[in-house]
Amino acid sequence: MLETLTDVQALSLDVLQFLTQPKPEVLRGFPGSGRRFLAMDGRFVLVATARDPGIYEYAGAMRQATNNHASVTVHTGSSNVTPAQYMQAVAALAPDVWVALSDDVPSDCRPDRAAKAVDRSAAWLSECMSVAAAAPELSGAAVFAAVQGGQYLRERQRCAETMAAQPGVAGFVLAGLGTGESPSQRRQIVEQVVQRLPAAAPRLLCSVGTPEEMLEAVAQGIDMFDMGYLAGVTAGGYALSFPLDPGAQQQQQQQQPMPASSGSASTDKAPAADGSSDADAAADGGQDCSKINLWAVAYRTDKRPLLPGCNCFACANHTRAYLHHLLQAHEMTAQVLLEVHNTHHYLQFFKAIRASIAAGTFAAYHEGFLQRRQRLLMGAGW
Amino acid sequence: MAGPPPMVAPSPQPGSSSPALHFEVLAQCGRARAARMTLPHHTCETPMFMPVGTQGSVKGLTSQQLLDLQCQVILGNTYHLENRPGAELVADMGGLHSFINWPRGMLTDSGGFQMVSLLHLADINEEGVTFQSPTDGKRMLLTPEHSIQVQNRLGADIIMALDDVVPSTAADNARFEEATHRTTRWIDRCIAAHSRPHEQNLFAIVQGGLDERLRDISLKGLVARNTPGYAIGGLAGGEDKRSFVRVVSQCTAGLPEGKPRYVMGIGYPLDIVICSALGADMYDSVYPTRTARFGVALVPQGVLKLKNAAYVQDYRPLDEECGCMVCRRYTRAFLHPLAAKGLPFAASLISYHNIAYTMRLSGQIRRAIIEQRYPSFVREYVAQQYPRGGVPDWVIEGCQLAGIELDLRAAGQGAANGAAKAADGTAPAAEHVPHAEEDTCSRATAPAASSGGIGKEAGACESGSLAAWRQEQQGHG
Repeated sequence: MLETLTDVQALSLDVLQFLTQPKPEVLRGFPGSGRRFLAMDGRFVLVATARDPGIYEYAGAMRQATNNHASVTVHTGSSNVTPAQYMQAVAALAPDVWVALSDDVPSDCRPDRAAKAVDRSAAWLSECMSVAAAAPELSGAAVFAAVQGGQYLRERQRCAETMAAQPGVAGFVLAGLGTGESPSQRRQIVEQVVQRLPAAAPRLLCSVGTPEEMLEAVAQGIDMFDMGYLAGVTAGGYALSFPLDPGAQQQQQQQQPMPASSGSASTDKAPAADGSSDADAAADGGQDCSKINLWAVAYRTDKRPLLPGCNCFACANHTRAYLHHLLQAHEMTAQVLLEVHNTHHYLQFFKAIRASIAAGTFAAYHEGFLQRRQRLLMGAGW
Repeated sequence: MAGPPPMVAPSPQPGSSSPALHFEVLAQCGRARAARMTLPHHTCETPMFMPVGTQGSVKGLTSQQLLDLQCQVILGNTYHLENRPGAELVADMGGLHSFINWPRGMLTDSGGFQMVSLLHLADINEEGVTFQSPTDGKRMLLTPEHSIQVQNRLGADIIMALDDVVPSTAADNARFEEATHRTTRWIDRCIAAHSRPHEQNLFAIVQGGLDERLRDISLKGLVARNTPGYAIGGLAGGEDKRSFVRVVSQCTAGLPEGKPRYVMGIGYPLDIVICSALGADMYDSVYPTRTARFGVALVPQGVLKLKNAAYVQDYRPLDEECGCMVCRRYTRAFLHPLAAKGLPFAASLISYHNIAYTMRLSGQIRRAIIEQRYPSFVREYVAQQYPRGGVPDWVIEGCQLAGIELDLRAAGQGAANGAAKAADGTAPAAEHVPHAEEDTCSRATAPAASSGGIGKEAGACESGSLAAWRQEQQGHG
């Protein structure tokens, strides 16, 4: 399915999945690279990260971490990993970019724990980099340092400064977010950290995902995101449906108040992607302002694609009614098709973001999104 | 789009024409035959294996992948689809083909098999069978008329008569006797209820348990009804395999030469090879996809149980002769942790390979028949699965019934060994030990060639573009 997603630029891999099953030796023993073992084509940038948003366990790292090892969540549960073990897996993957091991604490940990996490993360960064310096597989790879510090601005600032001062670091990860901090706290943390990082270095934000969160982070200077959000949306049976250009659509609607129906068998009940039938659809539990819920009976006989106009594999081949049936029947193809659509839609979203930045209209683009949301919230009375 | 099949000049080979089906034997080799069967949605080459999409999805695969895999016909199930989402909804969506976006042949089973699989929820009498829904407990009376009405709405190319199916392991002779006669009474009700004979083909199903006399009664009764094709039912339910091959042999011999013969529930590769030797044309089973979900891959030598630690560092593809998408890209070592963790991705990939394997096997069988070398193909296939001897008695007996002499050089033909394997329901050579026989895994066998070998395709699906077909469909209706 990946080959149908022609706009993919990079893939993020969780290093922790390659500690035990498969072991790093398995990838190393393969005649060819770790990338070939995973059948991940050379056209993708491989980014090896230290947290899989799909199985991340809140505060999992708090339990057994010491100065010598991190506590991480893997498939079988909690596990301890030293920087040396971690780097073995990184080297086996031979990625283009790797994130150094850090002490991943949630936002609401105690201040002394956050301080300890900053100290450990700095020490482990040095340790990881010295291992990497001796690993031929990683000679061309870029290292990203993880900025920890929980919700405490002082710790975040201290961590950002320490990491930025480390020579040889190519980029930075704003880590430990999406763990219970408030939107204003996150805004402040991102702002304070970004200020202290070199302007030319790329910045990766992990475990943050809704379209509005993405736009806010982009506005604050974030360059890269992982796609954990999509896994959650897909698992819930949702298809992303927010318009990629909300401003343009708003104008269109002013001229044409009722969205054009696409000849569905149930036009009166089926919600459109946007517009005046949103409130009806919301009443059926069928959608909110960014996605539609394919479990909802509203889509039982809906012959339209997940998102009219979308040219992803799922939308080109299948209807909402079929996806609704697949979910009801617990058929795993439902997740395959939804993931294809959701990934495609987010890739198009980022294309639109890049285009608006290049055109100097990002602020208006961002504003258009917020206005649309506000309009829908007011209109639907949510 | 389902015009009546073209009439052709009489050929020396057996064949038949019905309003919605044209069947033409292309070659016979002993009792085995290769044929072309024209259905409203696809022209199929037999013998063929048909993957099962019980609820409108072959588990773990998209319809585009099934097209890539050269599948010709896929199954849906009447009872399950009526239960969810309901045949009326499917009909509103343009029929099952359109609903699941599958341009080629489809076959729906009547719900008869659920009298076995959901027996604990079924109550059977002369009128029909009442099921209690496994999902919401609602009761549904499935009569022959209702089953056919549902199948008419679903719109598959081939629909199956509602038969009275008794688990083949049952010990109640009176029940088999009753079911045999009832199945014959029900076929008349099915034929009478069938409202789309020019677009859909109703197949009768031979019953009679493992009893030669009852099978004979069933055969005679059903052949007299002259349906476009016939199925052999009531098998593949755990009966002993010697009885199984005897019943298949008796039924294929008793069915018309010029009509398709479908052995229901057959999916073990060796069963397909033996049944084809006995003159059967069509098979269906969830086996390739279900076993894949348990982490088991089909290979010419038997099966690979990929959860086994032996594959931790095995960098070979699943099957070196295969060349399917999975075998080109991934190794056993890659699949092992995915299968061991039970990830859905593993289920999808192994299902893909297992269907590819089964489709390729069908192609090899067809070619061997057409090239008049089926006996040697069977000998090689059996030798490959039992490299150290121990060919089960039922295989030997099946081959004898088919007039194929097996090459049993290996000493110590163990009947007990074979019987035990058949009894526990595993595929032949299921004990295949990785690494123990490096040479057998790399040995070239029957001309594998491409996975193609399927004749002309119809319409837009020739290019393999499902999206194009979908657009065409929507344009029409």
